[in-house]
Amino acid sequence: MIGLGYRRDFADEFISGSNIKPDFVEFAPENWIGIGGYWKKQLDKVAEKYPILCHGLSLSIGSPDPLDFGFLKELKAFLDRYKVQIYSEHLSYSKCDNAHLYDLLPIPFREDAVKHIVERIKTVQDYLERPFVMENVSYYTPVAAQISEPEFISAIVEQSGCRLLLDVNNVYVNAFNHNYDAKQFINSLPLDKVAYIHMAGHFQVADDLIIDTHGEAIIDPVFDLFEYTTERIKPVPVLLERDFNIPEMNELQGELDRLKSITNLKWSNKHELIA
Amino acid sequence: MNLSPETHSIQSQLARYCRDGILTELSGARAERLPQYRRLVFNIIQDNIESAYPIAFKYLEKEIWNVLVYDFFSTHECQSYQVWKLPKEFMEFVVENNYQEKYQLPFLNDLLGFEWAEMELYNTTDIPYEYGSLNDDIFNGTISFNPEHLILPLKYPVHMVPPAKALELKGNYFVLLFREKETGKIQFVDLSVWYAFLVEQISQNNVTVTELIEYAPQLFGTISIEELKASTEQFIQSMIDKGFVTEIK
Repeated sequence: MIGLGYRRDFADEFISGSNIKPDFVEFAPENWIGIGGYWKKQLDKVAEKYPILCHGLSLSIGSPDPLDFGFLKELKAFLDRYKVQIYSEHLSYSKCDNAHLYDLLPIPFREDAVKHIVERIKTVQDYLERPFVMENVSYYTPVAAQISEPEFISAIVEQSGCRLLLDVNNVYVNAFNHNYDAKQFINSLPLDKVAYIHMAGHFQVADDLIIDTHGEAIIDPVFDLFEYTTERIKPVPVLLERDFNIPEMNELQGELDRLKSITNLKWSNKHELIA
Repeated sequence: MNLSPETHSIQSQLARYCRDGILTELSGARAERLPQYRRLVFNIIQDNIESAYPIAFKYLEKEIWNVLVYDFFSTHECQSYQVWKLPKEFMEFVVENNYQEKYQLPFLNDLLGFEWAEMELYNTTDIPYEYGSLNDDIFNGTISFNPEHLILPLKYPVHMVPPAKALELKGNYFVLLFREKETGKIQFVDLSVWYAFLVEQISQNNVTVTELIEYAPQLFGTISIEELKASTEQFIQSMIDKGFVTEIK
């Protein structure tokens, strides 16, 4: 299955399905919980037409602050209402010292942070009563790291029992920004735990820095890294993220088609894994 | 708590920097990359507030606007997990800290309140209701209104004229906002104090127009009941035409 992130900018295109034909759609529950009116009607039409996956923004699993059970209660009801098959979140933090920051900050790669996050993931999984999938995030500087990034991610996945959302573009961005080998990085992850893949474009702002913008088309080296990844994992849903600088629908459909042709080639005899 | 005080402190330092932009040394971080985080976080805050308050953003001097946004984000602890509700916290912050007096912008609270009311009502959770018969007596029937509405009291008519003009027209204004059932669009109706009272009482206390008209002299002193009846009938009819009245039975 190849999906596309749902945005209001192209809601009508999703509903008509004439110019864009994703197999599923993904959206952030935080953008929709409690929303009514016109956009709620549009969302319901989309949910009737496509399978729904959700990718959260505000759980802040790596935060020093306590989990927000008020939010979790609303989230659970929302996931049930839309029969969400996969709920994923970011391995980062977006709230600290009782203040939301609305963006993804890098967690220090440390053993104590691993323990802290593992406990919180288990709590969230138990509360939501559904598998939980964590995404490797892009980051622009490490912060007080004591272990490597693959060690950090692997330990969390192995110890918490969650699945991994492998964002291939994030691997590419991080490999560029921190000067490591992207394929080697992928090989060092628990690939048997991958339940979902994200693909996106990015923007290079300096000779040595790429920002993960979701505002450009996927570049060929990221497609290559995706192909490399598909050779090493079981079939899973793949999402194209495009949040800004929205092109014509046929361009997005072209990216979906290219992703599908790769998965058809690499996964043709395998059954897709749904978390 | 598995997190060590040191790790907690490092995370707090990074978050603090993203909020106030004051760079302190952060252990094991590439200092030249940290401004990216400040920029990305602050852009989200600025964009959300600007898009929620387009009139205020356009009207206020950029320097003042930037101070408001900076003060807000650096000192206020944002509580909503939904970024679209962030502008509400911004408005409350501006009101609580009395920036309208500080910068001699007496319409500021009204303007932010008006702009936020539109956004909030546009997005608010659906309240189930249906349209029924409208054939009964306007004066003695039970009138139902579209429940997706609010009445905003204002000192300056920022719902009718640009802020500079509104400054010259200080008074007591009421604006009714309601969300159209089919389109989700927000309709605005300028109300006199009488119609604001009428809509509020009918919505909350299930009273008839006749009962309210009998009560009117106690509120407004000497008035012509007949004139009030005639204008009220006209008002209710216009609210029927706009789709705000959903049933009279």
